[in-house]
Amino acid sequence: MRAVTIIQDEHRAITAVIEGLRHLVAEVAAGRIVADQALLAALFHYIEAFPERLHHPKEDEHLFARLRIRRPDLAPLLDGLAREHVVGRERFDDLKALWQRWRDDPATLAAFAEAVERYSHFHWRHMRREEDEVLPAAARSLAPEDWAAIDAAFASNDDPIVGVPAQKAFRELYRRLVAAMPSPWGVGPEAAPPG
Amino acid sequence: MPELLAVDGLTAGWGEGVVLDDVSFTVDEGASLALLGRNGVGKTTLLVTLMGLTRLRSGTIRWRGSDLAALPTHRRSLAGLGWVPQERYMWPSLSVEEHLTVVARPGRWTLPRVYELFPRLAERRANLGNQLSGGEQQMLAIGRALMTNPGLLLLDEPMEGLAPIIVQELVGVIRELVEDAGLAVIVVEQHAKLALSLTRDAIVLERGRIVHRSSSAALAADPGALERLVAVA
Repeated sequence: MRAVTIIQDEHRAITAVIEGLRHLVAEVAAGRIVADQALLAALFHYIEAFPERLHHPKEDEHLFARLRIRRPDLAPLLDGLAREHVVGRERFDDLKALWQRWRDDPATLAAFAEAVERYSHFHWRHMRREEDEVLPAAARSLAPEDWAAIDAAFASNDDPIVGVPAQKAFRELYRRLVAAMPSPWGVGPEAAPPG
Repeated sequence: MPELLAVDGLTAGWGEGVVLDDVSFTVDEGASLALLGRNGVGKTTLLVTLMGLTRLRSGTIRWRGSDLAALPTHRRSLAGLGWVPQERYMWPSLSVEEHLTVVARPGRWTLPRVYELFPRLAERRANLGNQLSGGEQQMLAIGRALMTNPGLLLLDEPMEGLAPIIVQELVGVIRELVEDAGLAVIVVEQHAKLALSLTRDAIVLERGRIVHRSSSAALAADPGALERLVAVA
C-alpha cells in the first residue's frame, strides 16, 4: 500500500501549488503585490504537467480500475471522480484562457481571480472525496496482488511523454517553485509592492 | 536493526513539576517514530529530556547500549543526537554557512550535501540567521542538525507555521532522510496524518504517559483511534 502514501504526498503537493496560485492571484487582485508572470507560468506548467497529465490518469488506470472490479457498488462514486478528472482538465484550460485574457486586458483580473478560487475549491473537494471515500474503501477491499500492481505503477511514476523519470523531474520543478514563491508562501524574495 | 535508543521508565519534568510519567520506548538504527498527542501532553518535554535539559527523576536512557542520562547536553549531541528544536534557535550574528560549519563533524553529511538537500540555503549562504524567512530557518535548523552527523534526528514540530508549499518540500526532505539516507528520526508533529505518513512506528502521549503504540500505518488506518487520541480534524 505504498501507493497510498504516494497519492497523499501528490495530493499535498498539488494542493499546495494550487493554493500558492490562489494566494498569489488574490494578493495581486487586492493590489498588494505586482504580478510575477514568470512565476505564474511556472505554477501553471506544474499543474498542467503533474496532476492533469500524470496523477489523475494513474488514478483512473490503476487505482480506480482495480477498485471497480472488487467493488462494483462503488461505480457511481468512481464514475463521478473520473468525470471530475475530465472536467478538471477543461476547467484548467478555461483558467489558462482567462490568465491569457488578463495579460491582454488588465481589467479582467477580477474574473481571473474568481476562476482561480473556483478551480482551487473544485480540486480541494475532489481530493477530499478521494482521500475520505476512495482510499479507505481501497484499503478494505483490494487484494495484495492489486496493491502490488498499483504500488508499482505509482512508484515508477515515469512519464511516457516526457520520457524521463518524472518523479525526479517533478521533485526538481517543485523545488524551483518553492524557491521562487515569495515569502511567506515559499522561500523566495518578498513580492514587490505596486507602484 | 540494532537498538539505538532505549528509554525505560522515564519520569521527568521542569523543577518540581512532573511532565513525563513512566515513559518507555525504543528506537532502532534507521527506524522512524512519530510522537503524537494533543497540545501540552509532554511531546516536546520528551525530546528536550532526551537532550538533557529537564529534571530527570527516574528511569534510564541508553544510547547504543551506554547510559546517556548522565551526560550533559553537548555530550549527547556528540554521541549522535541531532536536535531540531521547535524554536529553531537561529544565531543572528552568524551567516547561513557559519551556522552549518560551526557545528560540523566528520561524516557523510557535509556542506555540499546539505546544500544539495536544500539548494535555497546555498543561495542564502551569506545571509545572517535573522534575515531568513520561517521556511528558510526551518531548512537551516534541519541542515545544522545534519551537519553534526547524527545517528538520530529529533524533529520538534518541523512544519509549524509554514505555508503548505514549504511543508510539502520538507515532507519530501524528511522522507529522503528516512527512506533513502536511512537516518533514524523521531518526529513530533501536530499534523498527525503527516507524521504517520513519514514514519514506521507511532506512540501517543496523554498527560505524560504513553497511551498507544502501534505501527504508523495501523494508526493511520484507524480514524476512530486517531480522533480519540489526537483529535484529528
